[in-house]
Amino acid sequence: MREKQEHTISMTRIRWEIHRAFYSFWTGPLMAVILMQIAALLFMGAKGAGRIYLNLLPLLLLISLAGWLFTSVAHGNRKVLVYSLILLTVGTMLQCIFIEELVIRTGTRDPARTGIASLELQYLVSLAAALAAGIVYFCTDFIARKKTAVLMAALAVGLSLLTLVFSEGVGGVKNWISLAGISLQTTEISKLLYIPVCAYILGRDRETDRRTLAFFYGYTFLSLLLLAVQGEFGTLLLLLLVFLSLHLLFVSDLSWLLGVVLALTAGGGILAAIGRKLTQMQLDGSGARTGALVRFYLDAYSKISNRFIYWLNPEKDPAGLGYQLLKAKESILLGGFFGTSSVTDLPVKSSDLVYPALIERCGLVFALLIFIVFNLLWLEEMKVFIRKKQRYHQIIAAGFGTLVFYQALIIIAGSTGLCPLTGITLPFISSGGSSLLVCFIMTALIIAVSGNIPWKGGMEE
Amino acid sequence: MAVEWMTLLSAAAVILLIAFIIFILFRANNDLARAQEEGEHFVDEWAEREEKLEEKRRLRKAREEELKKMEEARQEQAAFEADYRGRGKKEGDGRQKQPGPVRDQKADPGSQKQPRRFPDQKESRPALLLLELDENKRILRRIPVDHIPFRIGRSNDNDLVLDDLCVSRKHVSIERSGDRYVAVDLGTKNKIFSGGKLHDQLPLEAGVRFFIGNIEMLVEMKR
Repeated sequence: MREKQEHTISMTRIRWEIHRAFYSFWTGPLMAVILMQIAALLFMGAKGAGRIYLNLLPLLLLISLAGWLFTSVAHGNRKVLVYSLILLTVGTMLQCIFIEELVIRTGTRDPARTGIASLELQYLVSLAAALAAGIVYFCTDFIARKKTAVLMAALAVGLSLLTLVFSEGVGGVKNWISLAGISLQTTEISKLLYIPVCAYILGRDRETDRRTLAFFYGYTFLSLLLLAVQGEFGTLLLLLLVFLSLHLLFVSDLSWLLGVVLALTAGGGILAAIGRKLTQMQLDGSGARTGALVRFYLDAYSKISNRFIYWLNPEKDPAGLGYQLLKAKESILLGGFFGTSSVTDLPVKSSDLVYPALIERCGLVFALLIFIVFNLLWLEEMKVFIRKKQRYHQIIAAGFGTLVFYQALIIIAGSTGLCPLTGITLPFISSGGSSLLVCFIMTALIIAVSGNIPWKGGMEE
Repeated sequence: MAVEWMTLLSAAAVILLIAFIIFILFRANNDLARAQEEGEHFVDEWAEREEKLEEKRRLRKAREEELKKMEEARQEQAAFEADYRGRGKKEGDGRQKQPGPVRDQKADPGSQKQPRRFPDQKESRPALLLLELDENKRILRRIPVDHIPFRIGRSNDNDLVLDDLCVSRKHVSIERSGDRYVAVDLGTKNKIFSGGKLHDQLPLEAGVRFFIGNIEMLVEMKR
């Protein structure tokens, strides 16, 4: 079923591809993006972080040019790249401001201590990984093979188990693992691997039979269970939404989806009722001697229920569980339409509460525009899904497209008080090497999918 | 005072950035659409270049084969003549005339007086090329119609197999009608869709676009 096409690489071809990619450079959107990246220097200068941004600017330009060349060679969707570059530029600006604020607070400009060196390394590694992933996906059907799918599923489960065993746990969440001095957020890797594994399961045939569904449900349940045990409920919610989206789009029989939704609702209700009963028993003193499993269950239950309680009434505990949301709201009010220079001390401003931090520093109008860019990115990714004819590529485009969009939606809504706050990152903008790496790879894969891929998706010979 | 100035400057910079992003969002659409159209000539240029190279390679190979055959025939002829002369000489010496070796007429192209001509395969081939287009009207592949009738459909026994559920197993046959080419629908449900109408027969001329199922084709005549 695979279509074989010979690729000839010659210097003439390389010269021709470079010529084709950059022939309209001076009038094209890439030039506008690069000008925006340079114009951001003015803003960064006003914020006092011009020097730090200047260090990262060459890397941003390199990423833009390399991304453009790759997109052009693959005949990919350039709008996906342009929107991602806008988001990456904003993310870089914000990280530079945070570094400058850290420099003012600590009084040191040592690149290693302030995190500039680490940020530069993250950008380079992410670019290399994204290009490698994009080229491999474009040129070979390696990712769609059975052995690779099994390997990816085993890697995702293995990494989660390793994290459970070796992670120290931060704030009740076990999602970090240190390898040779480099911290890795394994839940991000599991999230990335979930989509190709599901694409392999669902992409083999147009009609999904019971066996396929059993694999799909089984792998999803295992992934969600491991995330729940790790205490990573934000990513759990994200994967659940992606699972429901893939189910809706790629399982033609809607009665199965209805069954899944009913089962999830009933299961959630039962779990909540058990949690309420156990909490009541503990308060009464009848459950004084409880096992580890019950303690774990009660911890998770109180964590999730507290999110809802302090989302609705953060002023109940202004110095404790409602502190983050109250400070986020304060930042939003302080930011006004075009930002302010007098910033408040916002907790987890570089990761979970990055959107209120963006509003505070750049204003509501700018932040709203960034939200619109996320929406446009999602629309373009959905266009890729609709236009692709082969099922495997469709699942990859729809999976990564919805993943990025839901992630942005959950954290933006959570940090602005529109829904309970969960600890996930805002794609391209939040700090974190694992998150950045995964975002780069996802974008590269979507661009590769949107191009003229020479192999047919997911069909086994 | 300084803080106020910095706030003002940063607000101005934010407005500039907002303007830039809006500019990129609005212009990117037009620029990319134009670039897409302009970029097509690069794709065509490369495809044409590859086609020319392929044609050159094919002609060179055919010429080499022809020369090889002629060389073989020449050697055989020389061997025959040498043998014949040898026998003639012996006969002149007074011996009984022996019948010469029977000449294999097929293996002796020299005897048939074939003109040494460069094989022009274009004569035997229809000058028709179908270009499969994607959703963005970009060329996915070029399909030379190398014989008539040329059958298109979903099943594997067609000359061109299209993997689309809206294409019938035997959908279209390209045939010659006088000195023109015609795409004939083979009694399918979706027929041939072109110019907003369904056709049973569609004359194929350069620049004609038509759909077979969901797959768009563009006709090109070889120069």
